[in-house]
Amino acid sequence: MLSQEFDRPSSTCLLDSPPSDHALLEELRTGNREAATLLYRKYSKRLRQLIRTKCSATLARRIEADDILQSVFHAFFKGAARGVYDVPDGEELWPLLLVIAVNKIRTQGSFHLAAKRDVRLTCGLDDGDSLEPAAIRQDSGGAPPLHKLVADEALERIPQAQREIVELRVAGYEVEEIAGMVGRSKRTVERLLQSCRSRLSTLLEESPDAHDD
Amino acid sequence: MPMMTEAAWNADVESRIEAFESAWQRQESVDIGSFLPSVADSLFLPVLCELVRIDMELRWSKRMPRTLEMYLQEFPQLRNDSDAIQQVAFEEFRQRL
Repeated sequence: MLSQEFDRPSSTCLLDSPPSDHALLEELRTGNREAATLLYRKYSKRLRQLIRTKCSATLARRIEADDILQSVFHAFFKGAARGVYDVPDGEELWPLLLVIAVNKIRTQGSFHLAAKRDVRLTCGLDDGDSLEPAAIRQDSGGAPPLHKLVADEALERIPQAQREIVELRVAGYEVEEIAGMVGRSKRTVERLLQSCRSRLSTLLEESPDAHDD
Repeated sequence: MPMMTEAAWNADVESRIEAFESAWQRQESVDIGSFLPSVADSLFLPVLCELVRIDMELRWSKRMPRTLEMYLQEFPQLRNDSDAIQQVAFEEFRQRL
């Protein structure tokens, strides 16, 4: 099922040594089913865990984590076959899969909260979270936790010096103040902040929703 | 893909910029040319543009202002990149504010 869109049999043996995600993605583009299997094995457990953590109890009553997982890989394989994804050599596909999963959860949440299907109306009276207004949990501060998850993931992947600048900006410091605090030029602070914004935008825009038929 | 381009850009360009700014912290004046890749390198103009902008900012802050025209005389390659000229012109403009 997972590799149903990859009809070409494997021409390259990928099992001799662990291939990089970059190499696997290249193989996916040529329709290599073995690459699809390896990527599924590599990321499915981690993704399933993420999905279970991020789905609210209300949404979990309507849809299985594995259904979302299948949908994530389906969208990813379809996008990969079209060549819409890329990953630098040495980096992982995890951030991309995470964003796809986050969007799938959000989409499912919206679907099941649509008026006539509102899962909140079908909950038992003993359900503690039956009136929870969102299908995806919101933290106590009201910030969307899934956006935060994506942002945190992006931040984890940037160098410490750049992360410090971003964290200071988020804390409310002005560019000039940050430049003084970290001993860099104002232009550099601006450039690194722009780079981080761009990276985050790329992660968010790589959602498969934009490519689904 | 942008991410790959950005990664390649970050690795080389950021290390050059960091070295340039560190040199500025140790010295009263720094030679941009020492931190540039070779002219044939595809990163030459992007690095030059960034270093000129930073150099301009730091010199103006130390009351040693330099203008776009002065940089164009020192690095005529900048004339080949209208976007770079615009960026340096903008930098000079805001230093004057």
